[in-house]
Amino acid sequence: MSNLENTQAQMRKGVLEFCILSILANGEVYPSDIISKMKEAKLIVVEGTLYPLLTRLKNAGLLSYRWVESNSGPPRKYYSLTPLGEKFLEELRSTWSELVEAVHLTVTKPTHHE
Amino acid sequence: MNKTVTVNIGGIVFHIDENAYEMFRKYLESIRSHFTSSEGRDEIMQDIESRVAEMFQERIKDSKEVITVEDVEEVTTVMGRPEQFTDSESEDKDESPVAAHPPVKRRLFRDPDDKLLGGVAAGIANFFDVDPVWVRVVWAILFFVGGSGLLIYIILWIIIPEAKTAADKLQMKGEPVNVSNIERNVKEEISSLKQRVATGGNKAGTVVSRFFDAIGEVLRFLFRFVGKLIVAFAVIIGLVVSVAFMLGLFGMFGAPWISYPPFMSHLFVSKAAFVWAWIGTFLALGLPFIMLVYGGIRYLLNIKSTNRMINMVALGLWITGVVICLSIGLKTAKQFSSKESIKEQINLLQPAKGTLYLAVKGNQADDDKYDNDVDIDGDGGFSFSFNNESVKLSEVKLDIVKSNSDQFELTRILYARGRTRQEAASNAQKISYSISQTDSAVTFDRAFELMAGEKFRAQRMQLILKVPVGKKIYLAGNMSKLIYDIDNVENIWDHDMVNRTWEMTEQGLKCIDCTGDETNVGGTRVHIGNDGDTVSVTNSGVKITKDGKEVLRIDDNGVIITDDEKKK
Repeated sequence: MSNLENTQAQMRKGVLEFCILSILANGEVYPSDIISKMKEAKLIVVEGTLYPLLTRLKNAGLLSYRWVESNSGPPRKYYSLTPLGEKFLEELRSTWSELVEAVHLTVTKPTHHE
Repeated sequence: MNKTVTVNIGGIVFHIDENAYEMFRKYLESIRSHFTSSEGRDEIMQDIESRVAEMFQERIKDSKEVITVEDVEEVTTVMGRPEQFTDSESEDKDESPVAAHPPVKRRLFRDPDDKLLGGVAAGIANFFDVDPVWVRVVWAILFFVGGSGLLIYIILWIIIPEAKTAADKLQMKGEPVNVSNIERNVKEEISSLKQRVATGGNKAGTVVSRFFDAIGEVLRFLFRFVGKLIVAFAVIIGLVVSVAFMLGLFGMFGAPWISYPPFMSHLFVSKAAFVWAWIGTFLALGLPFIMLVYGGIRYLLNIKSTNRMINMVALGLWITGVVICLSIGLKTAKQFSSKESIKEQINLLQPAKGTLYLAVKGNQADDDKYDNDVDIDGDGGFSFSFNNESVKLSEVKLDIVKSNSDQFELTRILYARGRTRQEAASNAQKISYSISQTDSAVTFDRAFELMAGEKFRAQRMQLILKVPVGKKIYLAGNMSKLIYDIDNVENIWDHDMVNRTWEMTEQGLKCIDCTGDETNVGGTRVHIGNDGDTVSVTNSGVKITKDGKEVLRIDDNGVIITDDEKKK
């Protein structure tokens, strides 16, 4: 049972970076926005997951951020993709479509109209 | 009512409930320990704190000003525990699912889900991974061993925190504490020590400073171990003393709400004063030991808390106890502030043959009616015994002096203290003492009595027997307890004056039937080993006895050796 959960977690984890970068591709966003979208998609459960990820991507040079004053709390970090990040995302997209194709081929049950 | 703490989260000031603060601090610590600095820990922490600050900010609108435990719980649920953070470098590197979640180090909590009283037994059972039933059985046994179980239970109940949050409960049931785990912990500590010694040395550069750094690390390590041992020892001692102290208070003086022991009634002004003294003694002397146990156990189990209430309350109670003791002490001392004495003449029949035989009433049955004997200085100098009706005091002394008339005369002086001189006089009157005479035999009581309800106010009695010149007295053996510093021509010590007949001369008392073996002022008698082996130096010479028999004597007649074995 815990094996199933683990496998599920591993699968989600694999696409997590891809999803975050995709959300960022639409323009500058604040982490909370990313979280609400990811939560909707049930990709993450707790917010804490996001922060280490963002930091890692930023340190890898894929993201940059700027400070924006907030009227309801401390200043916020607004993240956006760097040119390197955009290239990275492009690569991921093509890998993803290949992967979807491959998975589709492997997983779908054979049809009878040969 | 709750204390609040002011904190700065993400650059914004919040008022946060003390318990909520503690909870939040632990939460942040758990996140911090989840990441390493290479993963950008400080930045992650900052981001999370900023986000938390935002969430708190949303919650303190609508006239609500303080962050509560519920708020922290909600926020931490949204943010998630570090174990729930699905993505982290360490997990990516480590594919094994078991190693990815290293077992949480187990901590001692009270278990609210499986409790009979405070959840202490269940918590301990969780800690050691045993069935709570066994822990409860041990408690039940300890309850009957002087009630120590009850005391330990209450102390543990106070100091062990309750497992409130999910994280607490996780830690409560984490890795069990057993021998192999302890061994691993110690090994880890030693290896980290080695590492610190090594890296510390590299940084320091010179051989000398590396050496001292290494020594410092080793010493620190040793101090911590020795410190824990000392504290463990102190806890045991504190526990023993506090249990013994409780038993002593109850046993010797009774529980004040149940009984008012007769002996106490002689000393204290009222029962209320006794109850206060009891409470004061308990707080001033007993409490520190209980707190020693409390602090020691907390130190040993590494339970930290910012809640200083208990310490403050204990300090307050202790000061109260000291104040109570002082005021009761002063109040009682006032009862002793004035003194008075009463002099009385006692009628004596003049002996027909001119010799008065003096003895102490030796009635064993009389002594047996007292259940409790207390001998303050160990040799009968000041001793008293008491039962439910009265207290018996042996503060009686007899002096023998020359009479100015041709009559034997006996005088007694009663001394006592009181708040005023009148009260002291009336306290002196309460001495109940009898002297009986049959023909020429005078029998003294060994001690006087104070009946129940009468106060002990340092009563004592001096008897003075006046002997006319030419008349004799005989002191029976048991008179040694009564006579005190009686002047005599030979300067013989009191304890050797008994069993002798004395005649009053113009110069003072003179011994009639002394053997010359008596010790006197300037002389001495030393006991060696057995009772019968003595060396005595007197005015008349030196004498050595073995097993009560004389073996050597040096006096006016020269040296006399009496050695049975040599004769054979």
